[in-house]
Amino acid sequence: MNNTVVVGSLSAVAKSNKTSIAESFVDVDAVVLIDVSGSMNTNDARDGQSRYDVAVQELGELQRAMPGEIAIIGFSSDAEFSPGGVPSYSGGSTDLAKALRLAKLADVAGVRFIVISDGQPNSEREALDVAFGFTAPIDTIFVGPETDTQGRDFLSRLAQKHQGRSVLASHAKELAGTVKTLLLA
Amino acid sequence: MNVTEVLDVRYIGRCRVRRGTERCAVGWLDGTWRVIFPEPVLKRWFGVDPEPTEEATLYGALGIKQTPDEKLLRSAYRRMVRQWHPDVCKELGASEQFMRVQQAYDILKETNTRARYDAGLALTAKINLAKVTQHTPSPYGYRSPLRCGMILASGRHGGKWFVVDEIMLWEDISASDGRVLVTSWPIGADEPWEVWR
Repeated sequence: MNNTVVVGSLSAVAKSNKTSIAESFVDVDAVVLIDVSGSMNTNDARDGQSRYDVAVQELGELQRAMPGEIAIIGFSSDAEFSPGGVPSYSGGSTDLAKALRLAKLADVAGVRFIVISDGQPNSEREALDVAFGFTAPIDTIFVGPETDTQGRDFLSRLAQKHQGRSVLASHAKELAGTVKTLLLA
Repeated sequence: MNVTEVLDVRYIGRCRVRRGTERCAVGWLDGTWRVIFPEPVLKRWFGVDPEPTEEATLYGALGIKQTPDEKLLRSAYRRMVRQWHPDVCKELGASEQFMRVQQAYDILKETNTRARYDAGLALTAKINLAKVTQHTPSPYGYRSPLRCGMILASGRHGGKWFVVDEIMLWEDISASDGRVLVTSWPIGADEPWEVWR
């Protein structure tokens, strides 16, 4: 668990309002599931930074711009709700099905889901099966290199299956803007 | 030996360390302190978050366990408003508690906001808050959101005390005309202050 708390995160809003994290969840519009698996450590994002570092910066900017409206779940071999707004980098594999099972707890009216990943999950079939049980649309953002068609195609299929949209934010750059576009569209 | 009794408890204080290391509250019965409520027993009844946060959920602020039953939520809200209205409750912090009850009901009475709150509860239950907040246990013990009641409880007698093991039912103390007893303990008083509403 990362102890950093970014401005506009659920923890920050809860602290500011002197309420619990669960109470601050009442204003959440979107749950962002962000891939923190080993491949996100590739240093091909802005200024030689890793995709993970840039993704964290972009998510921080997003939460500052939309305080209390974004919940973050980081996933790799495990999945973790990160109310402080910063998912821990943990490396490992990409168990999207596990992350979706955790996110399903928040599948209630008015909350949407955005999966951000740079690759394929451990089991595409399992992830699609879990996603099938969602009532809300699932949007996806591919943050891997444009040449990786397999990962991009999977995220596109995941989104299509659930009336979501699939977009590209190559190497995690412009991630905040892309998420905002999805939320405002 | 364990027995089950109906206790006409007129006031319950804050939990403190009273018996060695165990925190418990004492209850006023028949004009004196006579009942012991161990803190875990009260927390279990009122559905309080387990360690480490020790914070009451919004349901806990209404004195009930998590439920989607709107009728139950409404009656719990009315009961707490009756208990904590600053015109009636003479305790320190009554206004804050009254506002907390209002805030809780504002969120829980609407299906959409209640669903989101429940989602937040479910997600936070999956994380170890101790790592997030580096929580230090409060030096102040738990406080029952209700101060009095007709309580069906199992427990055991020891000297003048009845030690509660489990609360099985907690009803308001009602008069024959339908009015309900509300009690508080004003600062400096020798006994609870009773109002029938």
